[in-house]
Amino acid sequence: MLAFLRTLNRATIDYPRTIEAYANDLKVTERILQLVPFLYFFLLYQAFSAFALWQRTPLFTASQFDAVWSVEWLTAFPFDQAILIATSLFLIGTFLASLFFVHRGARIVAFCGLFFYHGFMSSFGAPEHNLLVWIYPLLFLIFLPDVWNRATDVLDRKKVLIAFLGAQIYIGVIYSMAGVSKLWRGFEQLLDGQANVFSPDAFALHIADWLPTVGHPSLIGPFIVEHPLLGWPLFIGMLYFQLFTIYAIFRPKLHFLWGVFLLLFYIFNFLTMNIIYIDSFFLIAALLVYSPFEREARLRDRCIEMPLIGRLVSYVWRA
Amino acid sequence: MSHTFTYRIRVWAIPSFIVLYFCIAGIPALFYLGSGGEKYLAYHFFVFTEVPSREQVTYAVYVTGVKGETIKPVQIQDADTLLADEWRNRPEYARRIEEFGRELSREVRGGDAQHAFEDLITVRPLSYEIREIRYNPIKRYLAGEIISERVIGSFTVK
Repeated sequence: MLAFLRTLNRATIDYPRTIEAYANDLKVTERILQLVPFLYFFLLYQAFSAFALWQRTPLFTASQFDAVWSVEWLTAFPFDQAILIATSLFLIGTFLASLFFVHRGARIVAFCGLFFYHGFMSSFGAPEHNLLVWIYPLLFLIFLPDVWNRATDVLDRKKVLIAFLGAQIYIGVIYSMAGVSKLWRGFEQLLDGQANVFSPDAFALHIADWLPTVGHPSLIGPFIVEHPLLGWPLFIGMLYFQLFTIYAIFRPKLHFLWGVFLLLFYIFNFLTMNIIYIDSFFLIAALLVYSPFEREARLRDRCIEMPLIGRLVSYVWRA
Repeated sequence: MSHTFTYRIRVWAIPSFIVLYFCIAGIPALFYLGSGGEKYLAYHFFVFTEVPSREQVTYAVYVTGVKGETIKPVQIQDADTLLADEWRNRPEYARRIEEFGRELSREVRGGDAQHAFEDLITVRPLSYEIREIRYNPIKRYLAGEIISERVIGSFTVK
């Protein structure tokens, strides 16, 4: 454990030096700059879907509207107009940024559009879970220098790296927080003698408890409930990957592995519990699976970097 | 290598952001976990934090309709709403159940529960029976098996 903390400490303290090193690699900056329009285009697609959905059949009614602070100003309008304003801002902002992503002004408008639309969608009694993960990454993208149409110097490239790392680190923070909370509550339940996150039937209990509330059977959920032990490695694996996401962010060779496993986490979420998170899915793919760092690394080198089990992997691989 | 002032600010903005984000959203949410406080802070990170217990308690309302037939049991998730002081005041309790049923029928995602509530409001209820059901989620899911079921209250609508 101490070794792990030392490694994490070294990784985070070395982060400005990491930026220095990658700033000399032109390819990394180019990859980041190429990725940006796709991020905005995905949000444009989501904005268009949201706009069409609201115009066809309003998802909520005026009586359910309880504005959160960011969209308090929308209460000055009739509900129909508030819908139109919120969805239009999102659509216009992402449309502009998809076309004119090279200009910071367009990126600011896109951020505002998402921010207000998310606030609007969170004003019906519960936070909107899907788009939430995009807010901070979009905020960080505003700080990218406008360098698409000109040659970059080292300082430009460092600025690009910082903005992109900011988005990646945010992803690391939220997944690790989710992991820490599961571990925390797991120990509490363990001490209380209850079923907990380490129990062999933990995943089966989640599925059996959740599926009746959604009313639709999932593809492999019933099978896992019938054979709880099969769900155990999946659940422990999920805990491991969530917990160490922030560590993986500071180890560029791990980005790809973590991205793939987090995508699998979302796929299994759907297969077992019928839960879909499209927005998070795309963001993980863009920021981690297609991470611009260490793309040429070999699988063995990636695995060796894994926290806690890296040495074991290295030993087994050598054998 | 020269570094501008704004560059230095940018470099240290990220670690500061991590610390602030965790302090503002993460730490309070960890402490408030389970009490509802997390809803306002970082709710989305903390879903499925608690593993469901192997022995759970739920409450079902069995309603007898105007023609005498027994309508499908309606599962009540929020037992506290029903089993509060209103229990002692039966007309008020009946109103609460109907309100709760209508409210839940709007929010509930399961098709069966939706139909059950439609039955409840289209057929004039004559009597209600509240039962406490203890079950293991896995056994109930696989075989509909429950540990115990007991009537904790009933009344007739006047």
